[in-house]
Formats: sequence, C-alpha cells, structure tokens
Amino acid sequence: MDEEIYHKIEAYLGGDMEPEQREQFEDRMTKDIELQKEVRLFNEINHHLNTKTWLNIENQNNKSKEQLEDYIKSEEAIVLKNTLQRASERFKNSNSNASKKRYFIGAIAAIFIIGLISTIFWNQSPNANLLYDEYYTEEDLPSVVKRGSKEEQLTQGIIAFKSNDYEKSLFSFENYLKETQDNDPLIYAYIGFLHLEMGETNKAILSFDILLGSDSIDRSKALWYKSLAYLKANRLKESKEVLEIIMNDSLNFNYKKAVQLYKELD
Amino acid sequence: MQNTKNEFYLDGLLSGDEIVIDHIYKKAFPQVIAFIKRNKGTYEDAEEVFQDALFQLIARLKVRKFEIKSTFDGYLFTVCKNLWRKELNIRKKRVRNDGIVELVSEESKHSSFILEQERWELFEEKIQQLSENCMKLLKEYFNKVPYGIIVKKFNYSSENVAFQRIFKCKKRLANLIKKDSRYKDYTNHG
Repeated sequence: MDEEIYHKIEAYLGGDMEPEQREQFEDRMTKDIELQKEVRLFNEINHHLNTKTWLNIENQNNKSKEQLEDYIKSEEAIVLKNTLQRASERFKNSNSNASKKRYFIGAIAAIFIIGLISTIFWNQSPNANLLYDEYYTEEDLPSVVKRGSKEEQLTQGIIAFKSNDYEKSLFSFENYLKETQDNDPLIYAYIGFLHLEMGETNKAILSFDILLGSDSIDRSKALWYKSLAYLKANRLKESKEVLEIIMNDSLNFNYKKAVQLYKELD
Repeated sequence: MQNTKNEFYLDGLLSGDEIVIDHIYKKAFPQVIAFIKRNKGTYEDAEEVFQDALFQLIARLKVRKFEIKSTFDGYLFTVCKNLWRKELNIRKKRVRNDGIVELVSEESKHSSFILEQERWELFEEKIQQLSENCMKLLKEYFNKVPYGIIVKKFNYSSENVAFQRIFKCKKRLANLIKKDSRYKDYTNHG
C-alpha cells in the first residue's frame, strides 16, 4: 500500500474527512479486505497508545473465545469463582473489624508513644536490638524434620525460613499444620520467630505459648524464645519477668544465658 | 526466585487454596482499591475488578499458553488497571449514549477481556522493540503534546517532518504486530 492511503487511514480514524470523502473511503473498504485489516490495526494501535480509551475486540465467533467460555462455564471454574468471592468477603470483614479497632489502637498508640518517650528520656535502657542480635541464634531452634509424604511443606518452610523469606515460610508451615493435622508444638517455635520478624510480637508470643503449654520435652525453650521476643520489642520488663522464670530451674533451656542476659538488662 | 514466587501464587489460585488467595488479597488488593478510588471508582468497583482479574487469570492459565514475565503483583495490577480503563469507557459511552452498549453474558465479558488483555500485552511487547526515539515520539504524540513542542524537543525542521516521523513509527509498529502469529490467533484477522 502506498503512503497516500495511510494518510487517508489516519484522516478517517481521526474524523478528519469530509462526509463525501468518508463515504468514498468506506465504500473502498468494503471492496478491499486488505485495507479493512489495515484500518482495523491502525485503530487498535491508536486506542492502545491513547491510555484513556479501550477498544473491544470485534470478532465474537473466535475459536479462542469459545474455548475460554467453555472453561468459564465449567463446574471447576464456578467453584473457583465462589472461592474468590468468599476471599473477597473475608478481606472486607477483616478490614471492617480492623477499622473499628483503629480508634482504640490510636488511643493506645498515643499512650504508648508517650510512655516510650518517657522511657527513653528518663530511663536509659540497654540497646535491646543489639542484645537480641547477640542472644538470638538459629541453633537454639528445635529440629522438626519428619519422614512422610507431607514432609515437603515442612522442609519448604524451613528452607524459606533460613533464606529469610518469611511470608513463604509462614505459608508453608501453616499449610503443613492444616493439611497434616500434625500438632507438633515445636513448629510453633518457627512460626513464633516468623511473626517476630514481621513485627507481630503478640502473635509471636501466642505461638511460643502454644509450645510452652504443650507436653514437649523442649517446652522450656519457649520461655527463652519469649524472653527474646519481648527483648526485640523493647518490652524489657516483661523480658526480665520471663528470664526470672527460667532462672528458677537450672534445668531450663539456656539457663546460663538467661542469667547473663538478666544481668545485662538489670 | 521470581518464577518460584509466581508459581506459588499461580498454583494456589488454580487449586483454590484459601490461604494463598487470602494472601493475594492482603498483598495486592489495597493498591487496586487506592487506584480505582483515585480514578472515579468506589470500593465496590475495586472489589469487582479484582475478582474479575483473578478469575480471568485462572481461565487464562487453564486455557491459554501463558507465562507471567514480571512479578505476580505487578502483572495483577496492570490487568486491574486495564479492566478499569475498559469499564470507564463503557460508562462514558452510557452517559453520552454515543455508542450501543450491548448486554453481554458473563462468560463473554470475561473471554473478551482476556483476549483484549493478550492484545494489550502483544502491543506492549512490540512497542518495546521500537527504537527509543520512536517510543518517546509516540508517547508524546498520544499524550497530546502539540506538534510545535515535538518539533523543538526532537529537533525536527518542521511540523510536517514531525508528522512523517510519527507516522513512520506507527507503521513500523504495525508491521511488527502483523508479523506475529498471536495477532491472527486472538482476532481471527488472518
């Protein structure tokens, strides 16, 4: 096609033709399939580049469209659509609860900030973060490796944990617990530290409390983890209270470290 | 690493895993709400757009050969923006009453958009294959920058030269698109 025809295409699409010219051009299009295709493509390009418009596809009897619609009408697709709908409702509900809480949290936060400022100015405390880094070691975490068909999720959780991919790790652990109904309390040690890394101290404490309230031989490890969690959150008084519990029994996990840390906090 | 992360979301979506879907909502939905509210929409509009985007993604994964080349969140946000762009156009037509807005079935609404989104991705891919100058020029032109300013900015001798250059870039883009078999596939233009 020569350049002249492209100028006409542009004029036609831009609405820059006189009615008579327009009619002639449209007449030519009905006879010339190639011209039709070219006009269609230039129209699509114009709509694509103009970010305020959107061009619907014209062909309604396309095979790809049919295949997509067959799937969309399938039972599998309907089930998944309902699943999405429920997720949307859950999100909405959780957000509306969150906004109700926001007023209270706002008030509490104000009190907390005032408290925190007073603590900083009036009571020079040791650097909690540095102490946490000094006392936290991955070696203190229990081994949770198991044999079984669902072990994959658990291993994935640990691998992600070690590579600091906290969201993925938390997802794998939670999924593992849900799928296997395995109530191994030691897994909550990992979950607790994941929450802690995500800045969710209270959730971390709750996880460690699950381990603490269990029959596990390693349950006293939860005390150590709790003292570290409070330490990381700069809640030094609570950290010391937990350390005191550890110090009551020399058989408790990390008894010596607890004594040492308590001294540093005192 | 990126692929693994995307697989994690896509597998979760396809299997209807509620934990993964909740996670997607938590991570990606707030950005979509903010965008739609900034652009004449409501929370309910955002809800519908996000649901449609996820559902269409499932259908696309099931039926079409498809791979996300960017991050999952980035891809989802782009689709939501396009869905909203389409919806705003439909609303504009309704208000002006300057076009027939057909009542379409739910499945046709989804299938059409999936193919339109594919076309959008194809065009974007081809734009990236143009020279940097062409890309800039087309962008300025469609942002309604006057010819006079384009002439100065690109050091052209006249408005006519600017027009010729824009036209050549568009033609180059059209040729790149025409050569791609995917263009024929979703439009049956071939």
